[in-house]
Amino acid sequence: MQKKYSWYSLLKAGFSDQDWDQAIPLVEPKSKYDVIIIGGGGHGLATAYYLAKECGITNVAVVEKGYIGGGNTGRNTTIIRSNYLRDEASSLYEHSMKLWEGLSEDLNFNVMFSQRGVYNLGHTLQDMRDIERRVNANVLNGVDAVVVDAKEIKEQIPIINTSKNVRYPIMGSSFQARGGVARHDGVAWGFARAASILGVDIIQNCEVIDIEVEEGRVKGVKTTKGDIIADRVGCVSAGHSSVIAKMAGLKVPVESHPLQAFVSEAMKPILHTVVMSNAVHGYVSQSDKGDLVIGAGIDGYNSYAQRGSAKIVEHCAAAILELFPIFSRVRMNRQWGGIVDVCPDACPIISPTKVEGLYFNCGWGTGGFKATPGSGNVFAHTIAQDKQHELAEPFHIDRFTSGALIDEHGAAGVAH
Amino acid sequence: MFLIDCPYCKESRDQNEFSPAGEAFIARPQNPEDLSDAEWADYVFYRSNHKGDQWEQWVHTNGCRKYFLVKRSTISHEIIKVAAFGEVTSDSEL
Amino acid sequence: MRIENHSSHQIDYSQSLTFIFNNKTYKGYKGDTLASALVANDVLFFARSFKYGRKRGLMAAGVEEPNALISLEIGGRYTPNLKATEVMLYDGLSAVSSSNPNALDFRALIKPFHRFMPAGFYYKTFIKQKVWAKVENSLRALSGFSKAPTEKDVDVYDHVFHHAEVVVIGGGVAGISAALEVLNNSKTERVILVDEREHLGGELFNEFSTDDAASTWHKDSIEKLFSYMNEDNSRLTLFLRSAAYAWYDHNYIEVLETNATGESLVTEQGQAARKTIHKIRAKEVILATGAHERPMLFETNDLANIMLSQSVRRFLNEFGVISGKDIVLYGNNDSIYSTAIDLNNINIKCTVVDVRSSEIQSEIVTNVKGLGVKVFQGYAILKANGTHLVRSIELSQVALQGKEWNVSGGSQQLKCDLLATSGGFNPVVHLDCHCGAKTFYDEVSQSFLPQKERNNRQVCGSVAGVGAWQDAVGDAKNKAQLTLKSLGIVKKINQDKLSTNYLNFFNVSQFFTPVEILNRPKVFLDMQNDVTTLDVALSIREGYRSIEHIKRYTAMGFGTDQGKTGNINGIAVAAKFLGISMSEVGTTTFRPAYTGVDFGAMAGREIGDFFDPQRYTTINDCHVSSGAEFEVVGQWYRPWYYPINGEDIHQAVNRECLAARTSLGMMDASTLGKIDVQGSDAREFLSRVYTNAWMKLAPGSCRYGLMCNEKGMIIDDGVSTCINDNHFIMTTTTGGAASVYSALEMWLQTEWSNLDVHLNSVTDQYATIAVVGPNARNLMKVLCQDVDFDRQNFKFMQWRPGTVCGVDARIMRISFSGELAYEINIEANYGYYIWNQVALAGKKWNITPYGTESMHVLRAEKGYIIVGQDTDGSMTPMDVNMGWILAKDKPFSYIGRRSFSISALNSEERFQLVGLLTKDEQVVLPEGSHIIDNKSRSIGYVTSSYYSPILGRSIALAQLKGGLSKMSETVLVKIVQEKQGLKEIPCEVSSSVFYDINGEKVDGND
Repeated sequence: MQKKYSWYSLLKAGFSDQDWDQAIPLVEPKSKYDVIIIGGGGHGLATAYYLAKECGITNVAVVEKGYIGGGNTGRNTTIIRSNYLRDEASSLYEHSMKLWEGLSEDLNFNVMFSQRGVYNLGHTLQDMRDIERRVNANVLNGVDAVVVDAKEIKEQIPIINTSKNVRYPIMGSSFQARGGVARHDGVAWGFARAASILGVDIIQNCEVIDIEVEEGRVKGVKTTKGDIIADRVGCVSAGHSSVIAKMAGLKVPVESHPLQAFVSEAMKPILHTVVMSNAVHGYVSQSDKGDLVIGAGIDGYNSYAQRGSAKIVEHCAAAILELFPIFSRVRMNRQWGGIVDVCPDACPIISPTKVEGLYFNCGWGTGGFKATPGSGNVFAHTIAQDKQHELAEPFHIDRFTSGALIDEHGAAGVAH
Repeated sequence: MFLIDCPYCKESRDQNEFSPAGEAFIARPQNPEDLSDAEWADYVFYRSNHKGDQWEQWVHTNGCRKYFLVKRSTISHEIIKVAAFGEVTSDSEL
Repeated sequence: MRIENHSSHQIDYSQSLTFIFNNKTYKGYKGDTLASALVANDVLFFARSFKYGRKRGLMAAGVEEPNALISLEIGGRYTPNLKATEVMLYDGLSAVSSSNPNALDFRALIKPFHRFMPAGFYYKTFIKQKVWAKVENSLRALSGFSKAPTEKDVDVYDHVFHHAEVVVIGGGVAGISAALEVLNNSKTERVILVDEREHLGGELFNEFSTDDAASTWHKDSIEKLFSYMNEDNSRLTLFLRSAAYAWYDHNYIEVLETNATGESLVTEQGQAARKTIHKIRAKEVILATGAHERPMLFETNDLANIMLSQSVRRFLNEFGVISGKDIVLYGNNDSIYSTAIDLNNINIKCTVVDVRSSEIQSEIVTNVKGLGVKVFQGYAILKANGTHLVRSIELSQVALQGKEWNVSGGSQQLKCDLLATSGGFNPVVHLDCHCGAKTFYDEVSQSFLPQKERNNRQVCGSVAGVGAWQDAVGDAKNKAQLTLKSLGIVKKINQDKLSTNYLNFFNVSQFFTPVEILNRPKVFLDMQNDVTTLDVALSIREGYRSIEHIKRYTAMGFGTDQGKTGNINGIAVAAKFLGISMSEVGTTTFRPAYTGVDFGAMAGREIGDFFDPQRYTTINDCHVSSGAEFEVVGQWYRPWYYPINGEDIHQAVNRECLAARTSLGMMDASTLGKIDVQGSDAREFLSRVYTNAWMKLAPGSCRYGLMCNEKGMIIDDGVSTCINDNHFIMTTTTGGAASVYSALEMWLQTEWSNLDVHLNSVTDQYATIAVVGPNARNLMKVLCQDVDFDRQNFKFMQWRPGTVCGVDARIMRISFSGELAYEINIEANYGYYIWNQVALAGKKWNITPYGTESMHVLRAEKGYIIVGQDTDGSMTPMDVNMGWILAKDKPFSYIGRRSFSISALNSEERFQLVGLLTKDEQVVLPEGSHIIDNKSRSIGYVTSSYYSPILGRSIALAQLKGGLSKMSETVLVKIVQEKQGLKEIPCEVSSSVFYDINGEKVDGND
């Protein structure tokens, strides 16, 4: 039985040389599992956790080619919100949001979910129409959201530049008070630890090199640590989804692109909320450590390299200075890139495939982190019941053939 | 930040002058009406998204505005070859 | 203190400077860094650490410094988080500690509780969401270093682009040698040499006092370099105070040149850039980035005046300052003996503690012993004593048994006031790894070295593990030869011979990681974030075993120094606790930036007015003088409405709309995209990209077209004009012009290269003025005499060439309002003139300029869609009730057509565009409000909504699920914002055409 995290255990450990149990036990793969999850990011670990916790399937392995949380989970700007436009998307993200709200307690691991609010700024009349549309849709869907004008924004964020005398003046914003950020590594570790306690094997440094398919049914996976048998395999490998799909003779309608982010050196807190702008393109929040965490745009070319172009980052810095001129002498400490799997309709795929027993959860593009618990939850149920969870139904891969796309581009204000 | 040889301008120029335009050799079907929905979806939405060397289309947006072909590694970003449009028509050529 | 009369190499004693630190005034000299000037003034405490708020002093002399974080200046020059070691002193400089070491600090006050706050503390506590929400803000207040700026930067920044055949990064011995070797052996090749310091020479200055050959070599080499720089059309460019901070794909290197840190740059000549980013594209790169010294590990190794040995040397030799009188030098290699010699030369007492046994007898060790310096061989420091400042050390014997270091025997105390340590050297491999190159652990030099082979790149000097400066010269020459070969300049390369021990010149011992020491408390690895060896051990115990996990769990290397001094020790400690090799642990990923880069510098000039191009029509001055309010559409500024006499937007729009409906309005339509389509296949081309038919459109006529993408979704619309059989002018939406033009080019080049079609964007070449209203024909007759405006001879959807006020024009009779209307197209530069002429001639009919808002009202009254407002990328032509525009019998399957037969695009539940009429005619629905069903679920939303002055009531367009089959039904629109005090507004679903349903107005009334 693992030691529970609490004030009491911290006190006790303080007197006994910090004798904590392994949060992430080092295990070697067994030869057979009920379910194998490919990909030890937040979504994969969450899937394993909910399989064990809610679906009663504990004989589960998560196989990760590197270290857990080392992909997009550990590379994103950690913004959490559920104010999506379409009913299908907002239901899924709101499901996730509700899970976030109880996640630290559920996992007995503080993922530092901080509901400091998220502003999505509007800079043109059409931005504001889109914001009104989205906010109203949110409210009807039970998602908290309001439209705020430039004056209110200035009151809440005194350091923001609401001057009308700039290239793209801030006209208003949507605001989701329940939105915020979380500690990304903590999310991966919290799910991993909680899943391990329930019996899930988390196997790191174990790369899947092939998927065994016989007569249209998945039989297991070949890995760098040997072959593992399983009737059901869930692929949650983000930017590498196409690579894994190919192993099973499948194709997924995603493309992998670099998405970059950067952080400043840590300063005393000055920005207490999350500010996002599509029109000038940059997202920013200030972490609990004090650094500004900034998200830039994606590069248009395909890449598996976890790095992008300088111009994207530099343009993003300019965008941040348009919003916050006071940050000009603040310095970038570090920049990096992730590999995002972008779907044509800016919505994920949570779906069975033509190979029986093989399921895919991918295509989260630039917005997967916020969905981590919700995605894992509905995917776990989808795998366990071999039937899509109700909230996952609209995200079937067949929508690209039927045309039933869930176009979120409009909501993001990107397409127009 | 790639350095790209435009096969039309015959110059190596900075990536800022170019735009990526997707995977190469995705030909528009001759008779779309004859295709099944799945075949049509394959053309519209599905790309190989290859990890490794792949042919792709680029356009010299802020230059000659010509589309051309680039064989590039999606792992290392190394550009292996460039070709004028039509000079190569499938992965196996060149 | 300052060593009087010391021949320090960077200081100009003739220029005394005054500066303020933590509210006290001090003096320094030109050439000082803030750090050296403070050391000269015996300031030993610079700031507090992140987690425990421990008082800290200097550790290093350069960018690797983890502790001495300060805030510079105030107001518009306030700069947070600078390292005192990277700020060059200037007169009047004013700085404060990032967190005051002399004030009470909460983090330090709770010292007794630190034992309960191990790495990962926060993951284990405040687990209840409500509790976390309450405490988070108070915890946040403790975080961060300097305060954030509060004012706008007064300075500007530049970007400059360069090309070079060879870029040499690092201006120490190796860099200088490599640059010279390339220059000496080539004729036209351009070389850029970059160094982050003030002077070329790197660590070589340290050798000057003991090695005349070093100073002679330096003098000669610099002279030679400068002779190249002084040539006409010099091939050599030198950037000093310039840090190469990022290496992107294809040898694209970004260098940040610091022209000033906090001093003013405004002169009579203007304002110079504070910093400049040099963007260099190099054919070949030679990395000579040197190495950072790493500290030795022992308990409370973070006390002030525990420094790096080479840094102490640098402070002494370059700046003539030292912060102690009774010095202990401690390390595992010969370099500390060089420091001992330097100190001995200026009669400062020092003692050497060397973990290596007395069996190691380098020449320098013997020399130092010969000087009478006390040398402890085979001894380790277990602990440093002192409150905040080192006062003494605890020594014990140590021996390497196999691969294990074992401490034995009792300990003894040794007094000191400065402890300088060296645990070996960490090559500065950072840049090399930005683009995916790897490192490998080299057992000989006990360091991670850059991967051996890499295209178009060489490494030389200490970054390649080379120790002695003479070897660095040889190594650099050899590597430069390889560069020359790669450039094709030399065929046969000459290779100098290096000394046999060139890879471990300093005889660095095996990594010094005795568990007796590592298991002690307060053995700090990362000074800035207070990460200790026990944190690493805990991380591993808890299963965070990957070095990336260790980093993330403990925050090791997350600071502004990015772990330059601490990380490799951390890796060694992890290797020890994991029981695996350094190489198996590996490094964390090196990412830009090598050193911090100001956001302002990253943005360069592309902020403010230059953030994004601003586009104005040639008529803009007229709009400005008419008092127009503007709307941003794409990059354009378009007149939104023209208020007069204090009107608000509604009053102005009502007036403008009524003018157009009842007499005459005019509008600047120049921003619409215009694409000139020419060639014998122009018709065929239009037929392929538009949904409707174009083969029979006669010259002299115009036609509206709707454009879809392959998904079958509307992406653009506009009127195209047939000039002749081989020539059309297409118009696009204002926002869509660029993307449509690109898409058309793509189709032509990649799919239909057999079509004879040529495209040209002519948006900027024409100005377009729409004259709209029942009196439009009367006006046109006045303006243009050579066109027959008779309604039968110049019909709706036709165009005529003519002369308007003496200017050649194309006049299109098209209408986006339903009224009789003409669009006058003239060469752009006549826009201003013709606008004024139209306004003058139109006075008779009270011609009224109107903006985009009235345009929207007028078109909505007629049910004309705005792509991007009434559609959102998910609407088909059928969805907007425009099935009529889909040609049935075109032989070519036009873009998007195939998708129309997909099942989901034919669902009855699709969102369809309809009109909405509020039951209360005076209520204007807010745009973006939703239509709800009886369970209060959204079934659609309002895309456009206006008060229609001509109808005297509100009108709206909406996307409604299955809307086209719900005509005349009553639906409820929910006003969530309650702006109008209403909750649910009943509306009737109607046709989207509200006014002039039979289209009788388009011919005018004359």
